Amino acid sequence: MIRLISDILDLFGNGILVYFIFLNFFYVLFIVLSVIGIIRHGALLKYITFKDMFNQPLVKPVSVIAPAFNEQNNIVENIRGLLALEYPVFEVVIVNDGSRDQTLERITQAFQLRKTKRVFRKVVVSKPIRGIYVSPIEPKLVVVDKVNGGSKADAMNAGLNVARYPLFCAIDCDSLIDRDALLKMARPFHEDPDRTVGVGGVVRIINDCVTKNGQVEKVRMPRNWLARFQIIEYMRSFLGSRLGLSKMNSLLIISGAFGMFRKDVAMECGGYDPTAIGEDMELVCRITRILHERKAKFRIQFVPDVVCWTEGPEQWKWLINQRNRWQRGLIQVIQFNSKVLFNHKYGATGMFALPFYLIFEMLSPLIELLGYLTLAFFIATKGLNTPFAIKFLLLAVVMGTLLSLSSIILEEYAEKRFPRLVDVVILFICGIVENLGYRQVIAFTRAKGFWDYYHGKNEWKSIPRVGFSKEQEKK
Amino acid sequence: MNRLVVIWVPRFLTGLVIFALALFTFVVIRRLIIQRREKIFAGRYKPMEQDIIDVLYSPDVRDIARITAKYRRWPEVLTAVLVNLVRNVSGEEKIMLKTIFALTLRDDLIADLESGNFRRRLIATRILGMFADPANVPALLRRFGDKPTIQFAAVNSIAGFQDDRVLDFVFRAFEADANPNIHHFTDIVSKHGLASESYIRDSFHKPLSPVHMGILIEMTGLIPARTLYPDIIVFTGHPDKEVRIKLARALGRLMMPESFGILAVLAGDSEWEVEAQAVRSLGRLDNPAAVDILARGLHSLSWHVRNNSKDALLDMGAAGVRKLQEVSRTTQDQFAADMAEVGLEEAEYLRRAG
Repeated sequence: MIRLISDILDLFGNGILVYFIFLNFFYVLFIVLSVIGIIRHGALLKYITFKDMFNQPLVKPVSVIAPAFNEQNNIVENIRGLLALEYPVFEVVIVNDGSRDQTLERITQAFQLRKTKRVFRKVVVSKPIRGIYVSPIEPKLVVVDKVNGGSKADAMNAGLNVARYPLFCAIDCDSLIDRDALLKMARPFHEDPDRTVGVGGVVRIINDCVTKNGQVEKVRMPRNWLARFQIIEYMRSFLGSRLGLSKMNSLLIISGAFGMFRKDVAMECGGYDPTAIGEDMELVCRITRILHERKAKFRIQFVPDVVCWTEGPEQWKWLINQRNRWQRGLIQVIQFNSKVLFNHKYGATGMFALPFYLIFEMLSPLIELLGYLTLAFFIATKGLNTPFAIKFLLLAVVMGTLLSLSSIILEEYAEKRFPRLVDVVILFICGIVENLGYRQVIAFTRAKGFWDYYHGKNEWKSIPRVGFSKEQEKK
Repeated sequence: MNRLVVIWVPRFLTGLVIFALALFTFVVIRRLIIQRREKIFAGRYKPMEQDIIDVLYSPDVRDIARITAKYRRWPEVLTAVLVNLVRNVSGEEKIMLKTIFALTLRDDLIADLESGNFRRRLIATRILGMFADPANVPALLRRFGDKPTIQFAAVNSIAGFQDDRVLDFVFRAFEADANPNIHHFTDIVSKHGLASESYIRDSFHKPLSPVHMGILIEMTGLIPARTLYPDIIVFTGHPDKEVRIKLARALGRLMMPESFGILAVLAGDSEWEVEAQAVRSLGRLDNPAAVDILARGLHSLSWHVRNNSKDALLDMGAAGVRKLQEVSRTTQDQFAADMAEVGLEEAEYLRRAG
């Protein structure tokens, strides 16, 4: 019996090896494409002043929509940061999603909010709006107070209904964005106004960076190791995968922390889905699917020089919670869009992008975990298949390390790199060490996401934030 | 088997460490190279900039020849110096700079415009725009067929040329373009202002598509070119909705009292988009007769028409506010009453803001 199991596992083991060969091939391909993309993007920024946009007669105004839930500690500072953004015409729509703390009171006090009877069109679904507030001292600010909808999507929809401008930028209230981020983000919409429907930027970890007046002044390596590992992960994900996928016209995720869309397209497609766990990817996938069905020409772009800074969780509990949710969101999106899979009518999305997410993103933690279990079985039965063990470790762990290290090169070409060489050394150490424990825990967490998803877990716990405004300005 | 483990695992791990070290070395070397390049660049930049500034104010024109001969071999630094200076000088100095540019960099950049390399084409397009020589316009206009980023750069470049000959090229390209991009052409024409008027008029009298006509109407409003009023009002009954929308918008920008009748007709259009634009424009005419039309707009089934009617009434000042008060008090139509109340709130904020 053990022999039979052993043979089956042997066969299965070979399958896993083939899987990892393909997985690593694609990641290497993305990194190569990303290096080309970043170098090329550098040329796009030569001899240009984004402020030329202020002189254009038909510049598209932007509504910056930021949902806030129990954000009393940072909300006023963050709103000031958003109001200080550079863009010819924009409004900041803060959606207070039924906060139970003093979020609304603090905004009201700081900006002298007054309730308005402003009328809006309810085009996309959201929980009822209790009131819309405007500020006589900050005309660009609109605050929407609504009943908690239990999801960011619901809050975003309320913001979309109230927003006035043709482009909207979805951001997390607890993130910082560079002052010229809107100018850079809107560039593709002005260059190719008919086809560009969405643009995403890079999200980076802000922990322990030095901030001043709502802007990141010095990029520093966090002291917490979990945050350090996340830096490597974000580099791989944003600078590696997403830029590479964007170059292949296959980008299906624009981070909810920072993305810009054409409002008419998002509204026509039904806005955000309040039932979605990963509302950001779900929206992009749905837009892509619907536009393919309409045979429309469109582009979803990734701009590597636009950075949104966000706090990464520094405790296992919250990190595991976050990754579990991301995994459940991914499973749900693939389930929602199953008809797109391997369907040539959906172009690169159907034949490459979504299958890639299915096989190499969604299933990867399961397969990786099965690989470790197979290895454990062989060891337990004292029948260690050494070639398999070596190949598996080589492909899963060593190759993974090589990819992590390679993504540090992307960081070197990107904007606002770590200036101190000691930080780069730490990055290299993280690139190696993360494969010895951290990665396996994340794989297990994500694999557990399958279980949680099929058992209907749909909770959304916001990660407690340390805050990066005042504490770090003191440094 | 154990031999495999003993041999291969250390080899992989050694390879990994070597790879990591190699990458780290690459990072360090790259940073050193960049630092060195920046140092060399800065070392050349300052004296070159000073030399060129001296030439700009020198009475001896032979200095230009000396400068071009001296610095042609460092095109990258020379480009940076010239680009920075051209943004900050005007008059004769600018002409001198253009001469230096023409003698050193221009020919290479013109060649770069047709290069297969995207980066070169883009940079050439931008730099040629900064040194605005009308002779380069046809080459830049050909970039309208290039990738969107280069198209956008070409538009910005051409828009910066303050020379009437440019418009001749631009309008020829516009008419020849089967599917012209509204942003491209309106950006350029609005920067040239009234100098574009005769070109727009000529184009109106040519058999162009409704898309072209719509863009011409949009240009008329953006300039704004009031003398073109007779040319655009003939489109009042145009079957294309987009043309009528643009007409309503343009009339609002022209702000000519005689357009009231036409806007009143458009405010009753069967398409809500035209209606919404027409009521918005009516508010700008400051004609008391518009108040009743706008009040009717507050009762429209379309939110856009109601919203624009409210904004237009606010634009009309005291008469509009009185009408909003009346509607908010008397109407049974809750949608109209709500919109009127929002208008009154906004009026209050405007009043407080002075």
